[in-house]
Amino acid sequence: MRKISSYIGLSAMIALFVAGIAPIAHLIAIVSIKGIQVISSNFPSYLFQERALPGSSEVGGVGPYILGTLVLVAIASAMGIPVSIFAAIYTTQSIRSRVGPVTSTIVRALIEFPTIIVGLTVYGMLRWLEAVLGLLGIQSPIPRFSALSGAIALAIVMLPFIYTQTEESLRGVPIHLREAIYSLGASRIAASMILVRYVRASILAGIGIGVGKAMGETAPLLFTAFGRDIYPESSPRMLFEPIGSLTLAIYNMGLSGYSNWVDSAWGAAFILLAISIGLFIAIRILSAR
Amino acid sequence: MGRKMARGEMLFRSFALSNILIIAIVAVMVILLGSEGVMIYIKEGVSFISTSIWSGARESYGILFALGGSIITSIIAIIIALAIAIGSAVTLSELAPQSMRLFLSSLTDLSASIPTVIYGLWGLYILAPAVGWITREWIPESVRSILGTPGSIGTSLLTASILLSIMISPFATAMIREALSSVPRSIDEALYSLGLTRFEVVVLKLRYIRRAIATAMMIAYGRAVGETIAVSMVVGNVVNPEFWRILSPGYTISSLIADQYQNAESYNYMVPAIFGAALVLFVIGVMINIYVTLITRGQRL
Amino acid sequence: MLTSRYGDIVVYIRMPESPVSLNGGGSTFVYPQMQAWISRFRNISESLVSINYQGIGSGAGEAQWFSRVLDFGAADVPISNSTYSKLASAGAGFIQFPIIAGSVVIIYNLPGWDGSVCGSLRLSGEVLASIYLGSIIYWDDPRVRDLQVDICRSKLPHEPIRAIHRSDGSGTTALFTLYLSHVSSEWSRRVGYGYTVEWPRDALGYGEGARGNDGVAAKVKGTAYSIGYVEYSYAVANKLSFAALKNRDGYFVLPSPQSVSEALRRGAQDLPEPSQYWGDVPRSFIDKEGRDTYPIVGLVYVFIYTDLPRDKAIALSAFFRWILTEGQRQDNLVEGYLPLPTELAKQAIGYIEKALKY
Repeated sequence: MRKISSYIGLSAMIALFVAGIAPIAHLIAIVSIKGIQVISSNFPSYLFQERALPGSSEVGGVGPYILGTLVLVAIASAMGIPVSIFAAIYTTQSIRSRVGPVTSTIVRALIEFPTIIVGLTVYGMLRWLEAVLGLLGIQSPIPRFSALSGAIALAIVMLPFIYTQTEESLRGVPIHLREAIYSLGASRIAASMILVRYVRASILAGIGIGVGKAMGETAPLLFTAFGRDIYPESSPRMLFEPIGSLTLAIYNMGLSGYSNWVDSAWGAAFILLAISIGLFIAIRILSAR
Repeated sequence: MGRKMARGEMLFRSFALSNILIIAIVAVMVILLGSEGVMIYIKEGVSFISTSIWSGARESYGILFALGGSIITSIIAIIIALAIAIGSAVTLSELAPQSMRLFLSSLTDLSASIPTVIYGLWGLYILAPAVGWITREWIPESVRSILGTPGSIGTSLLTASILLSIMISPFATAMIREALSSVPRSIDEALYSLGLTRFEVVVLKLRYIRRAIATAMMIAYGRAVGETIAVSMVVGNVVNPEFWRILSPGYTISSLIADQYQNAESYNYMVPAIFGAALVLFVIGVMINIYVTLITRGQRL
Repeated sequence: MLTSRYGDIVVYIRMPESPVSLNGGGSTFVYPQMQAWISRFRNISESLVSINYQGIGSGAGEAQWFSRVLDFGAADVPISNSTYSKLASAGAGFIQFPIIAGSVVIIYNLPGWDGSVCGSLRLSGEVLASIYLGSIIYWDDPRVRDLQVDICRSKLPHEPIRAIHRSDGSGTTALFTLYLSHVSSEWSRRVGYGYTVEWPRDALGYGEGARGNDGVAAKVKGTAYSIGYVEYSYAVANKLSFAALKNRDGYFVLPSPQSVSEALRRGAQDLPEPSQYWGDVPRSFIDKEGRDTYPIVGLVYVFIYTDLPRDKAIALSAFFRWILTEGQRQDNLVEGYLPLPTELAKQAIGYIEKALKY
């Protein structure tokens, strides 16, 4: 009797697991099938073309959005990665500083921030900046709708993940190793460099997680990047102009009523999914070291 | 200390600028949220969170419908996620054969890094129509009169709840798995040697880590409340003051912000209303954070 | 120098010397047409003028243009009162002008209604207002029945009307609610008009919102016994049945290029000065007299500051004056979009040339 109820109970557990994993498997399958269908119908120009007109029979491409995602993630990383890593190094290697623990507490809170609030507050901060500089008669260097403002929002989103991973991996170095390095008379800066090298795979994994988050976010960009469906003009100018991203494109095209745009949304979704999975695998490999 | 040391030390100290930058940015964000968010409460008072109205024409705002929507969708989401996460954690930690364990758990972890807009797309074109179809074919009229009816393409608060549960289960699963693996082997062995069935052992282990499960659920709840994009694609985005009618479309606070912010600047009070709503979201998040910190502090294993 | 014609209008369009990139945003209604124009003009200007237009909504378009984030805004109603007073007190130079006409049509999904026998569903402004207010619930309400052709009155079922509206801030909503305020004093008192209003029917459970014109169209298409309001172009593109509305003279009129231009002709008295408050302009096209006049007609308005750097001024002047001439021709119009009468186009061109001087 107890054996039977055990069997039933455990089967229920497995059933729940399957119930949880089935939608995910379905999602991956369907995004792949529909996405590949769309991309192959217009390969390889799908990756470079601009979007087709709404309601047309063509699907066009997602070129500007791929470029947008790359630009946004690159700039966000350039801002976010150094700041997170240096801060985590300082926190873990300084003993009496209060700044370190405060940073960690704040970062832990930041992870839970809904990303839409990040976007909203970055937008608000830029408005404030415009107002303050306006009083001084200067124009704000960061336009409200621009690649820069979008990148700032994404940098704030990616920051806590890289910081936390770096902090944890530095703290995870066995205590006798750390003692050894310091007892040899190394300065804090030298010791930091050695420790960072020691856990570099783990830090890289953290960077991977952060980059993955930045790449997959939509909400912070709603208020900042604005969106752009055509290729930008020239290299330096484009940072101060609105820009699009794969995520914004999927959101807008997916919600539109035009079937060619909805199809294109699946294609873009597949590209984004493929990159995410690739990044995930890379992180797993790094973490295994 | 030599000069080289001193310079090195200066370099190290300069790292602190990064910490200060992080603290400063978050401080500015919170101050901004607070100062912009408070304005609507000065105008509307408590009615901002106790009434349901969103009218630019009348400059009248009350987000009760969205607050209710957020809370209800998240509660349903964690109930479903609780079941799935426990089942998944038990399956992965106890039942799955070693060979499949890595693959299956990786699949679960992978789902946590799928961009939310892709969940939203799947939710809009797969999940919502399914919910709509099931409701039309299988739910009797009597139930629908109480619980509402989905929008034409299946958008509803329940659809959003289900999508949320799918999205937050992986986190919860990972946390419960970690807790399960931290149960001392000795307890495991003791229980089996008493002749308990496998299921009974599992149940006892779950009871043992119930604090961790509660924590996991609270954290998952926080995530659910904050999720915006996927929810806004399937929740219907309709002012629904009767937010307990979960089969009807509605709003959550985050989907309200995403849906209405664009519009907001042409009115005098809609921007403050949006920030006011964001402030409520933030406060909910902080409360959950504090609660979780207090619980885990008492649970230093 | 490019020559561009429309009717008896001829304009000479000068292109900027080097490539100019502009950002605009606003009305979702005009979005497909704007994309078509942008694409066409990029070819004509040999890529000297490229424009990024986002359909962020009329309200947002006005707001972001006002903050000078966008180079131009496009909205389904002219500059709002609150923005206008801010502009006036700042003493900022700006102009507004129409670029294309639109019409709000009522779409419906009524199973059992045979169009070949009964023709289009017939509605009136008062009945529409009552439906969206929630005082008419069922399709077979006497007030709805009485409007229909005799033989078809029995075809109306005893089902609640699901009334769909826009959930996002929308100029289409503004135009529709302006019409309802005009024909129903109760609507005017209880709800008013604007980009975002409160919809009394929602509270009864028989109304719901959808995002964008396409969202409303999709929802009506997918919901039996529903009605909704969309721009004419969307109804045409989605092949939806639209209702005939009772106009001021008592005739039931279907929206069409002819019935809309009747309203435009009658309303096209001289537009006010472009830098004045245009609050009453939309009203002058609503519910006009005439046998074949369709009652809900509006324009899409573009807003531009006048103190622009030279290259942007040239580019904007070129783009919009082309839109107001060749852009109004049938082969440059996306299906369902309705051109301006030449009188209005002429006035608009005059405003641009005077203000921007290019």
